[in-house]
Amino acid sequence: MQTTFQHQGAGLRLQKEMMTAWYARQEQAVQTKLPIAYVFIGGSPNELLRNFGYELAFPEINALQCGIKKAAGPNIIRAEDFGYSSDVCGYVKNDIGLMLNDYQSPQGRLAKPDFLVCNASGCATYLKWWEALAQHFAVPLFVLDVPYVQGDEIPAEEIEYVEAQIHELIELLERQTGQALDMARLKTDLAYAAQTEERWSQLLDLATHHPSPFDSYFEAVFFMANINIFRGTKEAVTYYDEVLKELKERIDHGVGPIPQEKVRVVVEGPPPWPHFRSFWELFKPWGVVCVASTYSKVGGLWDQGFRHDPSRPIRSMAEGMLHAYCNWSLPKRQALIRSYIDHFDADALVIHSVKSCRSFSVGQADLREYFHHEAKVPTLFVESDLADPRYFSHAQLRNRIDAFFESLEHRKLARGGAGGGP
Amino acid sequence: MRQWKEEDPQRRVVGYFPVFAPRELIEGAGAFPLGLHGGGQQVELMFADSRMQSFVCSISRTTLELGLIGNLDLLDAMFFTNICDVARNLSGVWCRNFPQQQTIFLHLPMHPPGETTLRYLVKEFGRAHRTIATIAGNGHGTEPLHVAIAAGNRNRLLQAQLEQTHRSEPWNLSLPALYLLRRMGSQMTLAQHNQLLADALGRLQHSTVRPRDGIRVIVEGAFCEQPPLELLELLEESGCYVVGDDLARGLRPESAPIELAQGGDPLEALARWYTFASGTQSVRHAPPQQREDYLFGQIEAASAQGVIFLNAKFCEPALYDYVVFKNALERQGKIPFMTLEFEEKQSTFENLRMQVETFVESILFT
Repeated sequence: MQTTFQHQGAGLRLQKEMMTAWYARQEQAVQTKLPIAYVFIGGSPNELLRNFGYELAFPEINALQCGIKKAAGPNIIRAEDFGYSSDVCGYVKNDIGLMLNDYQSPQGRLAKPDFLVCNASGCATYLKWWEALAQHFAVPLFVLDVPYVQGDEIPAEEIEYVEAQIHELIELLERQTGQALDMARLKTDLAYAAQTEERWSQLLDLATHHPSPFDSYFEAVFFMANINIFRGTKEAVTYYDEVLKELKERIDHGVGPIPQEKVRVVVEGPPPWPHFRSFWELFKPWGVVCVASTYSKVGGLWDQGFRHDPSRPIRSMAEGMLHAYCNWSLPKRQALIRSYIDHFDADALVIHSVKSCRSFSVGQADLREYFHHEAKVPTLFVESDLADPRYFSHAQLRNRIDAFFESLEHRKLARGGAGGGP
Repeated sequence: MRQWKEEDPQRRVVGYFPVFAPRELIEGAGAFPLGLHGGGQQVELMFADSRMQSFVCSISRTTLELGLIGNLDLLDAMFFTNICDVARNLSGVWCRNFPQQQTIFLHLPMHPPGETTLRYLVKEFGRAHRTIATIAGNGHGTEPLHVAIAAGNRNRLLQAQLEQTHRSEPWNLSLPALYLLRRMGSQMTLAQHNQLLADALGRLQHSTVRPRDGIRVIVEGAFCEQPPLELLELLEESGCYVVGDDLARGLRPESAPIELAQGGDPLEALARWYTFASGTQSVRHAPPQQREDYLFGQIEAASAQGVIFLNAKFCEPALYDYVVFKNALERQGKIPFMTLEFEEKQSTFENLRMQVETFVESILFT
């Protein structure tokens, strides 16, 4: 066994380099005449837009970056002054607030869109968001409507509907850019996508180890950025090779994200970005490690086996767009969480409900009913927000989290297991 | 409704959640379409609170409560569409809590109207029709669909006539009365509703209510969750004639008829109507300019002097559209507007009354 770490911090270091370069390309987009396409994370047509020379921008990622860097609050207030209600999505308001402030952000000045692709997979608010931007910037908007996945078998007409829209998007891109689709490049990029998806799935599955080498919520939300932004590039494949080395090295050394893993949980729901660190700190004293999370699947449920397929380029892109976590019905989400609890040997479920995102949160209380009363899985339900710092009550959260894990610890002791304790 | 079902055990009832449910499709498959618009002030939340957070709109919580306390056990199926994330996810909550009922989810296309959208929707309607016909034990024949579409077209015509009467002589048909006539449609078949509307139109010809002073306004925002009747009464008592509205939007679709040729495919006709002729709605993708055109069209058609935004608390589609509408009115600078927020469960209205009276006076005395 090695006695020194060769790969420690490689994931975050490499990610920082890639993200910094990506934001720099956006900041220089006007000077370099680089066209910018705004897209959403879930089911994004990355490979297609790059095929026509677009750089991708993800306002959802801008919003979380603003949240984590404490800049979301002023943006949200600016949007509310403009007319947005305190009861609508904080991500939307953060972006509108940026728009009203000429896109000045902690990452520098963000790029404005030349083209808006509303890949509406799993969220109705996306439409209203992009409609507002299309009006403000007077740029073309393409709505790529993705039907809601209800059962295990997806009706052929739903896949065909998405596929037909992708063909319409290609025609529009060809008209807009004067270029034809480069099918050879698309197939190459989809092959990179599939390789990335394979590595990402391997990474997530490492959390089956005891102790888990990483936190599948508090760390995975960073690791996931690269598959969402850079999927379809060689760099993304290389990135996950490096992260896998880092995490396998942790396994070799028997270390995880915290000194001693005592409780393994599955987490449902997005993180409270403006209070990300302090939220994590509330769990650490109890030895809590997340071994699977649903938020890390908002871009796609590749861990469930889906892969882009260069031999069926358009069809597999259409299929991929359907399988974003929030585009799955609640019964499917419930079954997925149940499978995570079993597969990753979790002790409990933590549901973090955020006001901003009804797509995520409506139904979570019913999930709690199911897991607590029927599946008999200890379930903690806490509320705050993913973007709006005003909804985070540290003392209240601490009370609930402490009470839950104290109770869980007593149950473990009663069963003869190892205790935790803060 | 229970008694009606007991009279014939073969009868089937399909509940539907707003905004838009194709009643023709449900009736045409042999089931009774029962519109659910929440529990209003009639139901206290005892169980739904444990399944829906407090920041979720009231209509979804009270509809769920009605189910959980057994009031909706007469339903054989429940029909939802993708009007918003709440309604969409409520379909999943319904599915788990009421396994004895079939939950039917229809994804109405958000891609702009065109052949892609139409082709998909024909199949989606076909899937829903087959599901309901199977529940109703009615076979998959299309003749009942022809009958239902004809009844639906007559319903559109009668509703348009009623609205025209209301718009030209609002003193003869108050907003609450018009609204209740529409809402009755959620509790009866299209043919029964047509009878009711025709009867009301006949009676209105003999109405002799004297006009009073009032400003002409339109109301926007209450297309799904419905305001308490007291709030609608308050608007008129405070000096408004509400001569345009989007209350209970799904129960009074655009007046353009469904064009169904002899021997034509009724599902294709219904899908074509929805795709190309059913009009703009907050819950359907449209460029903001189209939404603005809709608003100004409403104002012009009603000769309105003001706009009252009646936004249901926590209703995201209404709250997003409000920004579009508000900014358009501010840019135009000619039509005054005010904004009220309501919940269906609301029971005190005095503050709202004062706001509306002030709004009316500001128009009357400037």
